Amino acid sequence: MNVIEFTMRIEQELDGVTQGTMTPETVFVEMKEWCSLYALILMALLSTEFDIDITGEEISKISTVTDLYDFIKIRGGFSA
Amino acid sequence: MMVGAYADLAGKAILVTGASSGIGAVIAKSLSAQGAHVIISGRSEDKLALVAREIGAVMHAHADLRDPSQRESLIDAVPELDGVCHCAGIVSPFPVGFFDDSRVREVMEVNFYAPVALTSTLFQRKKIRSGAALAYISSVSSFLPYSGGAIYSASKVAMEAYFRNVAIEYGRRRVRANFIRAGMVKTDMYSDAEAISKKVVQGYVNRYPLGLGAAEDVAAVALFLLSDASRWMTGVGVTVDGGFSLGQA
Repeated sequence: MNVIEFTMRIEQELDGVTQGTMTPETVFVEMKEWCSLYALILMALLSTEFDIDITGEEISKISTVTDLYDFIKIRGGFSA
Repeated sequence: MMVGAYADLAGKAILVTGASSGIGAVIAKSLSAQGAHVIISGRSEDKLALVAREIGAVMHAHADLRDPSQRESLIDAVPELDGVCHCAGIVSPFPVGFFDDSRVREVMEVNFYAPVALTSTLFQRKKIRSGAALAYISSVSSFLPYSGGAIYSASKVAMEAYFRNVAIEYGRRRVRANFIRAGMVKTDMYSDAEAISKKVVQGYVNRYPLGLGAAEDVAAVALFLLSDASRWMTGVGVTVDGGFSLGQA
């Protein structure tokens, strides 16, 4: 999965986000729809789809979609 | 810190689960200060030993109550009890749109299945004395939902329902079963929530007219429910939440 495909995947999961509006450079907390539930959804997505447990502290340090993509890559989440 | 002043607690044998930290540890310490014979259990062996040393617990058992053999060992070891306070619990935030079998099972096992199995088996083995008081630390989330709390809230509602049935079935023996619907207090669980989002947690804190609580605020009510002072109360939940459930502060 490349970063563009990953961005589309994230967009699918975040209910309320207009499709096609997110890019790899999107800063999560600057999204007008951003809420605490989205942070939980990202954590749940990493856990269920990439088998990665991310702490609240770790996710709070992730700024953009690309940052999250890189985090998963480093943790071997795309290797399967 | 310890709380409470109930003379009748002196000499009573009371089991406190989840006593290695947070609300459970404060309740155990407070009961001990009243002269109760406190038996404590918890999953963290080191922390439990520290609490036991501090209060001079009659017995402490490192036990994961989800494990049937560890639960059985604890039940075998405890004396006849005048009280049980279930404080063991976990919070595992997860959105509704994702199903994670292991997370659902873990939350339900710790917050519901284990205290049910422990309580029912204690009754079955005649380890609960007539006139005993049971208390369960529930949560305001049993009636006030929050994002990510579906399974946690469900586990608390389930346990409240179970406790009401205990109250019905054992009322004739003067056994009472009550629960505390606690709001957010400063414990390790609070720190976990804060790690996810300080901003969100601060938003919740702002909704507490009396500000954030401390473990002692919940312990004070637990001691009341475990003492004879609450002898005409059973099957009810006491909300201890600094006014959170009143609505927006």
